[in-house]
Amino acid sequence: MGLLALLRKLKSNPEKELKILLLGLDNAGKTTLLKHLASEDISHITPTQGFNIKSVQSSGFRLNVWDIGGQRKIRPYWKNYFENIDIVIYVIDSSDRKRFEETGEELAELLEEDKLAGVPMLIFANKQDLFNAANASEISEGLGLGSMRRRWQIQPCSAMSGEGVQEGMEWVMQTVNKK
Amino acid sequence: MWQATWLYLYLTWIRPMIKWLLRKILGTCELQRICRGYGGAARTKRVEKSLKLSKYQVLYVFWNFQCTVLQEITHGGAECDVDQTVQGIIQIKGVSQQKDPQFAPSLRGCLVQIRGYQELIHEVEGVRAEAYSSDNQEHENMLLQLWDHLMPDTSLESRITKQWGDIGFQGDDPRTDFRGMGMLGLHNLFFFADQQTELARQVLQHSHHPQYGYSFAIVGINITSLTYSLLVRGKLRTHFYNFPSPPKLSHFHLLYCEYPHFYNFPSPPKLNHFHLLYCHLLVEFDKFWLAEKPRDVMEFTRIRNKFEKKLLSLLRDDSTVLRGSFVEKGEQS
Repeated sequence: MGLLALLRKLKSNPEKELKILLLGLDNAGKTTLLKHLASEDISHITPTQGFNIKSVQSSGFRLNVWDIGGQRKIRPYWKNYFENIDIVIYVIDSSDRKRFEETGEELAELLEEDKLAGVPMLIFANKQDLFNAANASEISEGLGLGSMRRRWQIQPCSAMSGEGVQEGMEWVMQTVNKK
Repeated sequence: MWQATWLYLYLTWIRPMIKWLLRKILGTCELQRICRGYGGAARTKRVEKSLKLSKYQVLYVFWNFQCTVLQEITHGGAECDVDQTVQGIIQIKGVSQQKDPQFAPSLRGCLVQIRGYQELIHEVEGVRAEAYSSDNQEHENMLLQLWDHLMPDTSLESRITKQWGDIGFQGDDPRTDFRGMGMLGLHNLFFFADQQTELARQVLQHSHHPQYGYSFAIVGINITSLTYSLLVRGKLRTHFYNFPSPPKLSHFHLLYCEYPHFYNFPSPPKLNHFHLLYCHLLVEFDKFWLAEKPRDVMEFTRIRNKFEKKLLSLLRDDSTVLRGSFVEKGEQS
């Protein structure tokens, strides 16, 4: 190894970059989650036309989080963002029971994607602060998550209050470290 | 560190010394020099800064505070006494009204605008803070009327329907799309569709373009957010301080010509002026978007940020009034 390369290796940040994809139906809370991860104000959020991206530092990692709009019209574009993904975070509005079927269908389609095969998936059962929210086991059973062939985890949370978000991200870190 | 020291020295010693010197040489105070030397937003912004930095800033703070309290007690019903403040400043500064008869009315105009802008923020924030509620009949009616204005030939099959997607809402129920902008998003869209119906339908039609299409309502709510953020950050002072007395009347956009009473100076900006500016920005964004020839709708954030940058650079110029064809104007500069 040349001196220059050695120096570069010593100098360069050992920090690893992770590409994380945030997906889910519109109004699931993806942007709120993204802003929460970046410690930004969450009170003026608007529907995402297109996508948002933020870089967040977390326990030695640089997380590049891509938040893609969840509107039906935009979903066909999701697949343009599937390259080199380390983790998929799928966000569900646990209080919107009428759309469980729709969110299940979208999730099933994601699981079929070749480019995402084997990519670990964290499912945030969001909006647990709302009184009519379904709990994690209810959602897990309803969507048949048990049959998923990859590392996965469901985490109840409230992106609004931040409760449960940290626990979910800890799972992400552990999973990536095991890789 | 050096910057902080310099700022401290400048504010406590250097600035007052320069002001004192100028005062001795020219025989006029800073406020007088501003009122004589500048007009429009350039004047009002400088007066605002001078008052804030003044050793008599107590005067300014107290005046602002007094107005806010008065507004809250009377729910905006009482006019704050600007004249009293103008007289107070004239006394403290020892301005001779015979020698400088223009000073009092100029200063008064500035104070009306400064106060008006603060009140506008307050008013707009009140609308934004109100969340959309399906239980509120007024909210529901406004939403349904929005549909009728935009889609006169098609009636809604039901309140919850995929049809909402035709005017650019995300799902079956627009309720969930207002989010952080609350009722401000709906009021803005409604004002546009109600007051500028033809223009609104035209923009809606553009949003259906097979290649350069976008979601009309969602983009509308994002432009609400942009306009709101410019207002709150004080960036729209340029526009609103210039608004009642535009530099070139002949260049005024058609939109504004339909509201001739705006020219009566001095009049502080009201909620309708905010809505009007919103309509204008949405129309301009639509033009900007089409001119950018985006690959697809996923380019929205990039183009929105570019649009904001352009607006900010225009607003840095004290003579700017956001009106028709400002995009072209921005291109020249």
